[in-house]
Amino acid sequence: MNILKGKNVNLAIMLFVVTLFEVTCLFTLFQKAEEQYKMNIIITMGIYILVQYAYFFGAKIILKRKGFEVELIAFLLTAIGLSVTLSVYPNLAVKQLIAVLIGICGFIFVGWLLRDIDRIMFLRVPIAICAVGLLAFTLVFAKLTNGAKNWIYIGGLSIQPSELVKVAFIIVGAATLERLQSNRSLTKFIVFALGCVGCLFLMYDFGTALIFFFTFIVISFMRSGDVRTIALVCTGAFMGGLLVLIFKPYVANRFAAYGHVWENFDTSGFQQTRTMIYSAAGGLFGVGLGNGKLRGVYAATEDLVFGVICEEFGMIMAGAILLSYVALLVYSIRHSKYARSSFYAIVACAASALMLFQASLNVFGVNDILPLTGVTLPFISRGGSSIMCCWMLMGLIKSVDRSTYKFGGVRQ
Amino acid sequence: MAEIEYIMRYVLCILAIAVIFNCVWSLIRLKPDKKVYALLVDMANEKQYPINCYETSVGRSRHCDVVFTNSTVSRSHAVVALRKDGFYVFDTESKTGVYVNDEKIEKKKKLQDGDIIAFGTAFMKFYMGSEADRDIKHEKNEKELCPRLVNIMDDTEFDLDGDFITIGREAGSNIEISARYVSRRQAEIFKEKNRWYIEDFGSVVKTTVNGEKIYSPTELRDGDVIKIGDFAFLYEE
Amino acid sequence: MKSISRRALSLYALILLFLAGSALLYFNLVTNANDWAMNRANKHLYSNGALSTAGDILDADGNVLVSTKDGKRVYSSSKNLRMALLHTLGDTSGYIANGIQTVFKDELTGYTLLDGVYNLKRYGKGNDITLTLNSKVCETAYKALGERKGTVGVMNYKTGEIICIASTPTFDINDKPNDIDTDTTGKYEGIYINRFFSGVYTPGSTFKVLTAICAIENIPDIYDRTFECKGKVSVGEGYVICSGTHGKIGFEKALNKSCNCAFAKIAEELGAEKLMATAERIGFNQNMADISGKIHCAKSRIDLTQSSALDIGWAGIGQYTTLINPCHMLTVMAAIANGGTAPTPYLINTITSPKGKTVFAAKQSVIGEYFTPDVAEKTDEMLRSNVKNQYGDGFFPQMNFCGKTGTAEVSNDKNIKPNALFVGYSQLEEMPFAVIVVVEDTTTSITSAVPIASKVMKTVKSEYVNK
Repeated sequence: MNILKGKNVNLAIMLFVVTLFEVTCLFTLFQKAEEQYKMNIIITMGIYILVQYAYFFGAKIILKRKGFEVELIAFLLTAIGLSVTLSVYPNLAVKQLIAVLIGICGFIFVGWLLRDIDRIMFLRVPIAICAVGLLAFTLVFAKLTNGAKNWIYIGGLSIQPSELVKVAFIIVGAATLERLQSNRSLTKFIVFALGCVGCLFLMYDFGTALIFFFTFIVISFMRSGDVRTIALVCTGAFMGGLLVLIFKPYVANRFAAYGHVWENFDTSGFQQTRTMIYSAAGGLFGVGLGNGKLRGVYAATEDLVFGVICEEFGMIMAGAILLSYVALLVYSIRHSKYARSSFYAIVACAASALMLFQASLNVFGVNDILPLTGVTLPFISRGGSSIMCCWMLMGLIKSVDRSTYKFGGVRQ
Repeated sequence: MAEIEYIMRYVLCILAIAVIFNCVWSLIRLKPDKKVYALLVDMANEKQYPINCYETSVGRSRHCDVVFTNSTVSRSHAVVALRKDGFYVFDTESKTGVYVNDEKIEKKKKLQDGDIIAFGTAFMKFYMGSEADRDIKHEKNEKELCPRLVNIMDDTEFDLDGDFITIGREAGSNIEISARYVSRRQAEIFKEKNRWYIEDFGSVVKTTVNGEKIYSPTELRDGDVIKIGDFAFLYEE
Repeated sequence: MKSISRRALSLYALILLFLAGSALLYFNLVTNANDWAMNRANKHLYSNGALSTAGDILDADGNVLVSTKDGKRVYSSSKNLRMALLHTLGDTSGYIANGIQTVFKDELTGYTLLDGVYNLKRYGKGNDITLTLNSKVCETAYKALGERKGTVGVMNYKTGEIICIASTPTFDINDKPNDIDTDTTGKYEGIYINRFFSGVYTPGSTFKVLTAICAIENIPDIYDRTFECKGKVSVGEGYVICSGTHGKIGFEKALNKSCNCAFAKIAEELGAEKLMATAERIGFNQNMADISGKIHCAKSRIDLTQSSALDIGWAGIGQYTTLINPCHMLTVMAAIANGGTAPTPYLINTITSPKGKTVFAAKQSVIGEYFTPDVAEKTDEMLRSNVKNQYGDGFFPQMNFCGKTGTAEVSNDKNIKPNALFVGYSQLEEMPFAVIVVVEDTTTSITSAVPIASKVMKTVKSEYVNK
């Protein structure tokens, strides 16, 4: 019984094409790399390709699942991000690979975790406490890095806890099953959200705070449809934001360059103008992996990675990447009616909306359509916490598809 | 070398676009089928309310999946949910309560086929739809992954769990059809290398698969319709 | 689930916003791609703010004027040629706004939206540009101008090819003076400006050519008229002063002698409307189409709408607010020489890709008919008579030269010397070239501008006729 009207993509062919893409990247990377890093690059990319095959083998042959579009997109985007990282920082290859692997494990783990709604209901409060606790811990112990206190260092590793909290935030926010679809009381969730957003604000991590706030609105609307409360909360947040701007004017200075980047060419508009210049220099098909010049600019592989993609892979591919974020949200919306529970519908819509929102903050930020907030581009930006978070969000998105779990009957 | 790199740029772009566009197209185009998992039948007027979601809200509000106009039903009264082990009904803080077989429920209650649910004074009979039925039944034999034949006229099912079955007028056939024009040994369905084939031995009427007469063993696929005279069977995997 | 899925639909708004944002982003990227990619911060093209990797620029004979070697722009080895071509080629830092290296940098770098700057990586250089210039003539023109400020332009009046541009003051691009931006004596005044394209000058007596044309067109018996010149003539409420006392004088003779009295009277008779109509028909008060699509020319201007009769009298002899752009004036001369039809001037002959493919080849075209052939012929005769009877063919031996001088007073202050102008062309079929010379702050045109034109045209003749 085919659950979907029409056919899914042919996994074998798509996987072959993805592999071809990765091998082509690997070939280019290998050629350009310094002698000492060549081995590093082959091993990293090789392991990544193997893991990818292992995943699809397990899911298709052993678990007999159907429909792999979401995973294919995730693997391809990760491959693009990994290629950029390998090309710019071959010395950090292994670190990034480990983060990707943990992310993929997280994807599978989240899939497993969400399978049992009762378990989620049970874990909801502990997860919420852990999430706020982690943020509070960061707030206390993090050192100010680049104007934000969002990194904690454990041993040699630096972690951005806010990324991991994103996943917890969505799960906790959506887990209201004892009330099912009738729950109109958002009080507890508002308190929880206030805690998270407040911590982030105090960390001066405004980009992430904005993302959390946005996700909060999506979840509370999906849960209750209560436009009045949400409008009230938004007004409150707006007033709060204004107060911050009045009492701490330096916060506004961060966004002062917005709309005037060309006038502040070499100062506050430096990153944005360089991104635009090199994006244009890349043309539709780019100057080739490893030939870019934007990589010399600060935070090129994190905040400005969209520019690097435009420059080295071309505007067309960058556009395709943007399109794939859109497709994930469309997928979540279209499946929400058929999900195995409203919980999954909310979780998936929130996760994919978060991803799209974050992508727009990043992409439009570096192109001066929105103020630059310094958030990462999902899957593409370098950074372990970010990639782990993205893969776990994928797990949340995937849960909306009723063919993911066997549950209440046959896997369809 | 430079030429290779030049062309590689295009190749990379085309590869990525091939994957992304294919997946994106498939993501935004595909939508799950609608299925009916169960039925609620209003005992007062025999009106049927199909349950085609995993969670179906019941209430007076027009935002509910199943809308009753009965004034004793709360705006958002209850939710009928399909869970791992079957159907449940949840009372979502209704004013007049939910009763299953005249028993008021606390929070939730598992439903059985034929249960009578009362939302306030709206009495409903709950039938597990054939499809929902199949889902649950199927969980048991999932490992065997056994296909079946469904008689299209009366929806009776016949599981193909052996290695072969016979169809004919002869007593002792696995599927006995007593029409005169059916041969004693009309057809045989057999398994080979995990696939099912049908072979026709009919003398008066030929067996057809999807309207085509068969002359040699023919592989069966999900959804094939096997016809012998007026009798039709749906092959399902 | 209906309520949930309905609420989920509101997320399509987010998608729409995102798509709108992306559309805006791509619109910005694609429409500004050229500007952004050519930005000085683009290290693919620039190092230390100077264009480092680009194609060659060649003159009409294929001599390399600029090329790239080892990430640096290398110019011609002749210092005089470097000085002569400074403004035409432009610098790599963009001080000279109308230079080829500035306005044609996307062609030179071979930037395309499709491949970005990849061609630079692939070939190590961009497209080559072949100009219509003749280096020898340019060098002669520069040397003839010497230390004086001014400009020289030579154009083929049949095709529109510009074969010579020189603009002074200038400097050697390989040895830029240190005091260039700090100097206060004025010796570098306007040094970054290509006077040929961007300069505007009071036309002085050269405007009498246009007044004469207007008279031929509008006064049928102009050839039968005589004018009385007593050194000055009353026009409206004042007097126009003449350079000499010419007595009774006919139309052609008046142009030969450049008699102010006669032309002031003609202008008065013609009136503002007719003068303006003729001037605007031949391109005054309009922007000329950018040369070769990208080089911007200043606008020639005339405005007699609020003028008194006296002002119109002065305007008729080129001493009012009227201003001419050398390139435009040269085009007007070309039109007279070419039987009334003005050719479109151009500077870029071909653009060749690194693979040797011609990606652009100039097409000759015309701006339009400035004058009827009859008027052009009559004007031609009068201009020929100027040289033959007034300046002397000795300046332009065996060239059948036609021309008109002009000495433009730029100030009432007697200490400030006038500008000298000369416009002219050869009637010879094998030498279809028109010339304009402007020398600032000098004496009379016959002693400054005409000798320069003479030197330049002699070189033109040796380059194109006696080769």
